[in-house]
Amino acid sequence: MPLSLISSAIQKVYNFLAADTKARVRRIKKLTIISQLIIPLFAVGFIALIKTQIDEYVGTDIPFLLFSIAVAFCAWYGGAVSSLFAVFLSALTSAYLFMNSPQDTALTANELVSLLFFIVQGVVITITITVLEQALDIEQETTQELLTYQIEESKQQNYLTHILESINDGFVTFDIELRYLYVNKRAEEMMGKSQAEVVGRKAIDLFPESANTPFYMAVNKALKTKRPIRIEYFSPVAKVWLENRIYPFDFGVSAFFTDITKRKKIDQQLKESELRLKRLVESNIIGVAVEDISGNIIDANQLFLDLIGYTKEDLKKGIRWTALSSPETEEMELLKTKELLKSGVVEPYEKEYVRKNGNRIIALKGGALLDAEAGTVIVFTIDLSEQKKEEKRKDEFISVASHELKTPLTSIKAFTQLLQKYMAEKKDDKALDYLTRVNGQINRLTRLIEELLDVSRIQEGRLQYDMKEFDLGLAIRKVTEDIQVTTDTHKIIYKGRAGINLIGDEYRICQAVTNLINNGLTYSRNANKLKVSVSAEPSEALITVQDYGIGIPPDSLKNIFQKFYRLSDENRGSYPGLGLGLFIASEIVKRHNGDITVTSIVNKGSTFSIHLPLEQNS
Amino acid sequence: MPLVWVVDDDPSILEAIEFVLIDAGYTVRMIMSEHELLSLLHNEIPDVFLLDILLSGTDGRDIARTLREHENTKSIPIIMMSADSRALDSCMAIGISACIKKPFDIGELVQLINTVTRLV
Repeated sequence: MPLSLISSAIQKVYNFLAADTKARVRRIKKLTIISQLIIPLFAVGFIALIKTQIDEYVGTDIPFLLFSIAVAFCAWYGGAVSSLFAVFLSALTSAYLFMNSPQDTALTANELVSLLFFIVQGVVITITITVLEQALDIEQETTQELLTYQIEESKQQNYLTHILESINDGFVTFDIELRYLYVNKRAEEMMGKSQAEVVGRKAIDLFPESANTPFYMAVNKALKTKRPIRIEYFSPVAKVWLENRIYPFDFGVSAFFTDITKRKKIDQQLKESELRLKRLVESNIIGVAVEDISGNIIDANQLFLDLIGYTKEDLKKGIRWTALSSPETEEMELLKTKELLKSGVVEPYEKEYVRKNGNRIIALKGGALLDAEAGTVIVFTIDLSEQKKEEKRKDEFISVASHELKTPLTSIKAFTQLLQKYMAEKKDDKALDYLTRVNGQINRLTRLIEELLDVSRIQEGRLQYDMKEFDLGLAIRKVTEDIQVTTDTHKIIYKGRAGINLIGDEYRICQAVTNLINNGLTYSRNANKLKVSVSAEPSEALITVQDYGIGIPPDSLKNIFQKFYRLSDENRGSYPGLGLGLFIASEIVKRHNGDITVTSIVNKGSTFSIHLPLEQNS
Repeated sequence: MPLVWVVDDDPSILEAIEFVLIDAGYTVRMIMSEHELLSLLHNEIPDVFLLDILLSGTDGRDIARTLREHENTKSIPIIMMSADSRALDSCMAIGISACIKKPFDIGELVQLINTVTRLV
C-alpha cells in the first residue's frame, strides 16, 4: 500500500511536470534576460526571509538546504541562466547572512567547503533539471507526433477505404494462404457475397470451382514470383469477362477485377469487321492499297500490285504514289487530295496509272481517309482497261458503220447529180424531175443514218460534246438559212440577234434546232411558213420553233420526246422518219443542263421551246 | 488543167468523183491506198489532194501529216472527205485546206476545188 501510494504520487508529479513542460518551454522562451534574473532575486529573497524565521528552531548547520529549493525553482521556471544566478545569490546571501557572526567576517575552511559544495550542488541541480525538462519535452513531442501520425494514418486509411469502395473495379486482398483480408463493395457484388462472409476465409473453400481458373493460378504465380501479373479470362463465378491485375506484397496479394465484357464484345465486332475487310481485300476482287501521309504505299493486295506492275518485294522496299501518276495528271491529283482532306472521301474517278514498265493503264479510283491524325488513306481501284477497249471498239464500230453506210450513198448521190446535170443539158424535164426526187430521198436517207448513229452514240454514252463559247444568234440564223435552201414549200422566218453568247457544243445545239425545224416542216405539209426565234433572259437563252401544222394531241405530248415515237395521220398513216429527231434534240438539251418543252393545239400547230443556261456548271 | 489526186479505197466513189471533176475541167488520178500514193509521189506531184479520212484502216489525217512534212508536198492543198462531220473538226489543226462531208453535193465539191486551186 505505501509503495503504490508512493508510485502513484511519483506518477502524478511526473504527469504534472510532463504536462507543464510544453508550457514551461514556451514560457521560458518568452522570458527576457532581466526577467530571468529577477526570478532568482525574489526566490532567493523569499527563501532568505523564511530561513531567518526558522533558523532559531532548526539551527544553521544546514544553511544551504532551503536555497537548493530556490535554485530548483529558478531552474524550472526561469531556465538555466536563472538557476545559476540563483546559485550565486544563494551563496552570497548565505555567506553574508548565515555563515558570519557580527564579529567574524572571514569564512572558515568548513564554511568555504560547504559553500563550494553548495555551488556544485546548485550547478548539478541546474543541469539535471534542464536535461530532465528537455527529455520530457522530447517525450511530449514524440507522443504528440505519434498521436498526430496516428490520426493522419487513420485519416489516410479512411480515404483509401473510401476510394476503394467507390471505384468500379472489384478489389480484394489475400494473405499468403489466400484467405480474404479485404473485399470492396464492387467485389462483393461480383462474388455475390458480403465482406463479412468472406474475410478470414480461404478463396478455395468459398469458391471450389475457381481452383483451376486462370485467376487462381495467376494469384499463386504472383505469390511465388513476387511479380505483378495481368490476365483476361471468363469468370465462372461472376459470369463475365474479367481483366485481373494482381499485385503481390510482403504478406499477401491484392487483385483488381475489371469487367471487360463490353470491351470484349466490341473487340470481337472489330475483329469480325477487320476480317470482313481482310477477306474483301484478299479476295482480289478490287485493288486495295493503303497510303501513309508521306505518300508511300504501305500495304496493297495482289490485284493492286498487278495493276501497277509491281511486286510484293517492291512493296517492302517502298512504292511512292508519285511514281504511279503521270505529270499531266498532277493538277487533278492535287484537287483530289484537297477533296479528300475536306470531306474524308474521294468520289470514284478515272485515273491513268503509270506502271513500273512505263506503260499507262486506266483505272477507276476512289478513296477514303482511314485515320485523319496518322494521315493514312485507303484506296480502291478497278481496272478499266477492258472497258476502255470495249468503248474504243464501240467508237470504232460507229465510225466504221457511219463510213460504210455513207460510202454507197456518196456514189449514188454523185451519179444521181451527174445524171441530173446530163438530163438538164438534154432538157429532159421528166427525167430531171425523177432524179430530183431520188436526190431528195438520198438526203433523207443520209439524215436517217446520221440520226441512228447519234442515237447509238447516245445509248453508249459516247456522244462527244465540245463545249466552247459561241454566238447562239448567229449559229441559229445560219441553220435557218441552210435549211431554207433545201425547202421551197415553207418560208422560215428567223427572229433573233447576234451577241447572245453561250457555252456549249455549237454543232450539237444546231443539230437540235435543225431537228426541230425539220420536224416542224414534216408535220406542217399544208402550211407555208415556220418561225424560229432566239432571245436571251438574264440567265438563260430561249430558242423557239413554231410550226402551223397538225399539232400534237394532248395525250401524245408526254411521249413526244421518246425514242422512235411518231405521230400518225388518219389519212396517210405514220409520218416519215424514225422518230428520233426529237429524242436526239432532247438529249442534247439535257446534256447542256437545259430544258425542252412543247405547247400545241391540234390542227393549229406546235411551238417547241429550248431553254439553255448561259453558263454551264460541270 | 489542174491535176487532182483523188485518194479513196472505194472504187465507186473514185469513179463518180472522176466523172464529176473531168466534167468540171480537171485532170484526175485515182489512188486507192497510201502505199500507191507515196510511190507515185516520186514521179508526179498534183495540184490538189482530195483525201478520204479513212483509207483501208489508215487514218487519212496521218497521211495528211506525212504530206505536210515532205518538201515536195507541204504546200499542196489537201481537201479531206469524211462521213463523220465531227472528225473533220480536227482537220484544220493539221494543215488541211478544206473539208467536205460525205455524201456531198457535186457542185459543192467542184466549188471547193476551184477555190483551193485559185488560192495557190
